[in-house]
Amino acid sequence: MTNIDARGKNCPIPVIMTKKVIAEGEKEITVLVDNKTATLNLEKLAQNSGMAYSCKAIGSDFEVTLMGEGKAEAVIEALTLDAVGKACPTPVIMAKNALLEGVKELTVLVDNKIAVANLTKLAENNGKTAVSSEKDGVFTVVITGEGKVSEMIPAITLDATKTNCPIPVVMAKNALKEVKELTMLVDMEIAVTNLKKLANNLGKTFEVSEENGIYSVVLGGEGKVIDEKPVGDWAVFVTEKGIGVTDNPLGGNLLKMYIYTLTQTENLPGAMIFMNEGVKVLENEEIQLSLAELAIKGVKLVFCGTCLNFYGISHLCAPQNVSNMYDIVEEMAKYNKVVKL
Amino acid sequence: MAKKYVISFESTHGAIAARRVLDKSGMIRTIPVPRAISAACGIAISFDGENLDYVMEKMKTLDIEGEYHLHAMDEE
Repeated sequence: MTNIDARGKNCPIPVIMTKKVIAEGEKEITVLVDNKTATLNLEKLAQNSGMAYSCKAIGSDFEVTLMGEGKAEAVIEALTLDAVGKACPTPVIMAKNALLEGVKELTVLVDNKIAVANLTKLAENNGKTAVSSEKDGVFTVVITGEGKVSEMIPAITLDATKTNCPIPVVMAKNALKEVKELTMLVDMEIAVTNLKKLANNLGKTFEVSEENGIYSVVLGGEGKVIDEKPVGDWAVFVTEKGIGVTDNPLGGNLLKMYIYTLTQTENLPGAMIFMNEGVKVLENEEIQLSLAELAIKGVKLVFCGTCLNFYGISHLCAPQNVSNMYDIVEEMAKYNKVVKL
Repeated sequence: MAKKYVISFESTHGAIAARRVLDKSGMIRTIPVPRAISAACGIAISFDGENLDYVMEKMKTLDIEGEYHLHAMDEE
């Protein structure tokens, strides 16, 4: 008997984890998942592998049990991914991972047109076909057909309009780990400048065009592999809009200078964590410039979502860069030294 | 090879006042005074050559004549 805890994991990961255990010849498997879609996919997997399926709800989680002699080599015939509420590139990465597992008919639920366009591109670039439909604001994209799937996502478009730097740079840098040709939509010149710096830094080609105040920036070409390891062994924790007393103009200027000086130093922090009034750095153009440079150099930038919401500036940060208290506590625990400003 | 300029100040209040009148935020950066320059105050402002005229024009509106210094810097 094998127990799998797949809570907190997006499909197709729970299905892939379960499939591996079936392949090892296990006859009784329980899988703990936290969403309905995962249970439906596991039911399909059970049918396909010739195993008995049962499911019971435990609080907000589900415990799925698969019993019997499973066919190890079973391919996942059909799979549904629920990516509603998830911003690109997440739905595309989920879909790519599923297609790499050999899923024959993949259904992806998303809630925005950019995601539909990106999924369609993913299908076409891999020699497959995509059909989409819409109902009550939820788009269903069905990807079928033969065609070899590549590890890298060939092309994708991300919408970073309304967000302030360094967010577009952080989005682009994260996406480029999985994407070959990236198109970023931004609405500020400073974002274009910073994306150009990112392109130079990564050895990517850079092209920009403008229409109705929206810049479309394309980063293409081979480029360098992005190094995942943290750049420094210390972290900075910013909780105010200035250093020390902030009711006079000195504190704000000291913070600007501090963050600028970080861009000029060799011993960079691994992460900068912004909480409470610290998240207001997203409103300051000078600090945006410095943070974009730090992001390009590999410093992880963490913004407290609750705080952005409290000050009414959530729109300045893309959802995938917003963190909660769990992420922040985990991030801080990684470093031997956290400096609070 | 864009030419960069730095203005250093005799007093912190002069630096903060200057920063306030220079409102083109994206082009002007508040920086610590580079180590190569010595000045009474640790705050300096830095900008590209193309903004030199704008900055010097604005500086004249402040009543701190003789209390700041313009330095031309060479950057990569």
